[in-house]
Amino acid sequence: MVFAVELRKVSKHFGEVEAVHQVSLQIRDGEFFSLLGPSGCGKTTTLRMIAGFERPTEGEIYIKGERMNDVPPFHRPVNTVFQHYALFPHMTVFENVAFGLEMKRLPRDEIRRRVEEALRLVRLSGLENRYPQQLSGGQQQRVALARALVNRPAVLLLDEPLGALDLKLRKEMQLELKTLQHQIGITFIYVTHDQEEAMTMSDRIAVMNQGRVLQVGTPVEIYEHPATRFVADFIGETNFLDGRVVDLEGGMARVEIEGFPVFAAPSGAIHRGQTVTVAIRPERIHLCAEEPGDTPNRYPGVIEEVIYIGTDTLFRIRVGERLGLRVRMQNRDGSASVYRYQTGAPIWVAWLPESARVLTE
Amino acid sequence: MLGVGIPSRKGRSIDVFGLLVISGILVLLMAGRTVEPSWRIILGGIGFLDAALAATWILGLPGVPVLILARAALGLVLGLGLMFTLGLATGLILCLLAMALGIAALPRARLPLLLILPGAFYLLVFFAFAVGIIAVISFLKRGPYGGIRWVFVLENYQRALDPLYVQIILMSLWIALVTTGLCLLIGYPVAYAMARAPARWRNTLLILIMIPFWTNFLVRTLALMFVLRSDGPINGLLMASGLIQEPLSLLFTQNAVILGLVYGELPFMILPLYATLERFDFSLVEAAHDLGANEWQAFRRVIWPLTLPGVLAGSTLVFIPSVGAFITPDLLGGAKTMMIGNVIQYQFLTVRHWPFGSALSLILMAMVLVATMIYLRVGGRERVL
Repeated sequence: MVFAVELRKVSKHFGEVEAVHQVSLQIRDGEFFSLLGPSGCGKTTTLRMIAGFERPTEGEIYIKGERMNDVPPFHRPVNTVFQHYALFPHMTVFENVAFGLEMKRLPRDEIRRRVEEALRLVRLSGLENRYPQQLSGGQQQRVALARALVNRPAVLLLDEPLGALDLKLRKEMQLELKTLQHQIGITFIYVTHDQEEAMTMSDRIAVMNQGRVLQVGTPVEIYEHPATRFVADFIGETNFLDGRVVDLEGGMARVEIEGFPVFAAPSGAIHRGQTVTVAIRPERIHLCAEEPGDTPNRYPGVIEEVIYIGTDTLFRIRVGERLGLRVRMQNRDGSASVYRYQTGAPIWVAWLPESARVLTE
Repeated sequence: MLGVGIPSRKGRSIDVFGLLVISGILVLLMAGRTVEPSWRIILGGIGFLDAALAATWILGLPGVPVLILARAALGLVLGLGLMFTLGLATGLILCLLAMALGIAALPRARLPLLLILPGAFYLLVFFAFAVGIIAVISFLKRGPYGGIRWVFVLENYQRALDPLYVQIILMSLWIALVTTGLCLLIGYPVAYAMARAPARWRNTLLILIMIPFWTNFLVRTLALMFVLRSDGPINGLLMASGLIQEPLSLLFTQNAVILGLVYGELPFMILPLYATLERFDFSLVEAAHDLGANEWQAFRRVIWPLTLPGVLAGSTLVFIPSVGAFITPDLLGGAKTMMIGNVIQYQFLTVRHWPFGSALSLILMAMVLVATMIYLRVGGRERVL
């Protein structure tokens, strides 16, 4: 199988600093692939190496099966949407979008036709003669998109393209980008630090930290089966409970945490006596007024804090002496939870063994 | 230059310049012994009117249109320009005094006006007024022992059309053009490299560019003479290496003048270029490469048009002093290369033909003005931001 983009053990050093360490990725044709991680994790450097702006110190980069290490950016079949758009301020919208086609020396009428088509695609028809600084941020973003897409690249690289937009516009553009990508079928490689954005749009996500890829998977895989504590923490919210494996039975691990037995599904090979972390998402924990009977993971606690945030209510529950749990409950019945659960009241917390993950690193 | 002695040529100069100066002095001193008593009242009155006009304008008081009309009427009658400036300055001082005493407050909208006044005043007196004097002199006759005679003639301009002078003017323009071109050719890569250098080196590089300025210009030009002499180091090196047998005559040639000018003016090209390139967003170059532009195309289509303001500024800064240069061609050009600046200097200081020198000065100024305007128009066609 020929991948749209393949990275083989790619590393990048800037002097003493290793920005990217032995990254291997296989990005399929037509895929919406996100590189997700905190700032400085190496995701942008990885993207810039694919675009050709940085040369890998080690490893190899293939685009459509062809080795790209020594190919300059202007000969690569990729185009980039830059973080701050990098629109040419001295050119009109039309001239900006036409730039790539002019470099290919296409005939004038074909350029016109394709630029108009691209501007229609991003719904900017009629603004051909404006200059970038006469456009709003969202419009500039669309121009940058049209300027890249008009060249029909094999792969479109997007470097936090929505970072400069306000939240509402960003949400709109997320869905629009996703739809657009479906429509034209071009492989998108999308760099973002916003986990929600990555979850919303991506077919697959590579979570990066400190120059390394920690996990590659679909949004569901990443959220439901985080490979490491970092991934579980970075994507969504998680309660981390440190303990020791005391028993393994029927595919379930029994972990002793602060004197309480906790049953959870292990994510890899573990052995008895091993120190592990049990990860449980706040929304997977149920609150019950009376002792529930259908799960082994049930513990009496005390409500320490109730925070109403509209869609949900957040709780902080103390179990035993030292165990604190964050619990999230959807407000399906309106604000009833706020009145039903009072600070200081006793409560039972419970979750299914398969909702929790045992993490070893 | 102020040969138009005010007291000595009372009758004539008073209605042209003297009147202006004296009225201002009247306003400032409230007394005048240089004119007849009957004039004092009129001039003083006009001066006060100007001061009042300035005050009302700056302080935003009502009644300005009436005052301006009154002043314009008086101006038509008496043709007073400088007095207006002096009156304005007086008004400014009065305003400041009023503000200091707490009698009046400065409206915020007038602040910019207040800030440009000193500069405008300086330029008006020392530039517009001075050029005005030269313009007038250029239409007069030379006096028998230098100086001027108050006879209106066009002969100075007719004389400037003599092929001898036309040739010198054209050569000056050519030398300045070549100098500007060379400075751009040398300066642009230097400025580019400086702008791309790591931030911590940039100030050092900037200082290196400016170090030659710490030495007097004359000393540097004289040093160049030593370098270019037939027994200087360049010839010495070439002879020792066996490349030439006879020393080359480098000094006192047109190329030596150009070399000297390029050397002297180069920083004036580099600094504005650096300022422009340093602010340049190099992610635009990446965008151009990303869209298929090679190094040359990215330069031609993105870097060059966006740094054109710096190119224009640098070229103007180099071209204008180069056209009128006279020390460099004097020292490095010898008798063979004479630029228009040398001719003007010669007319003023040696021949003492001020009217002709003035005419040449004005022609030079007009040409520089036209050249700059054409240049800016051509450059302006590319959209400059």
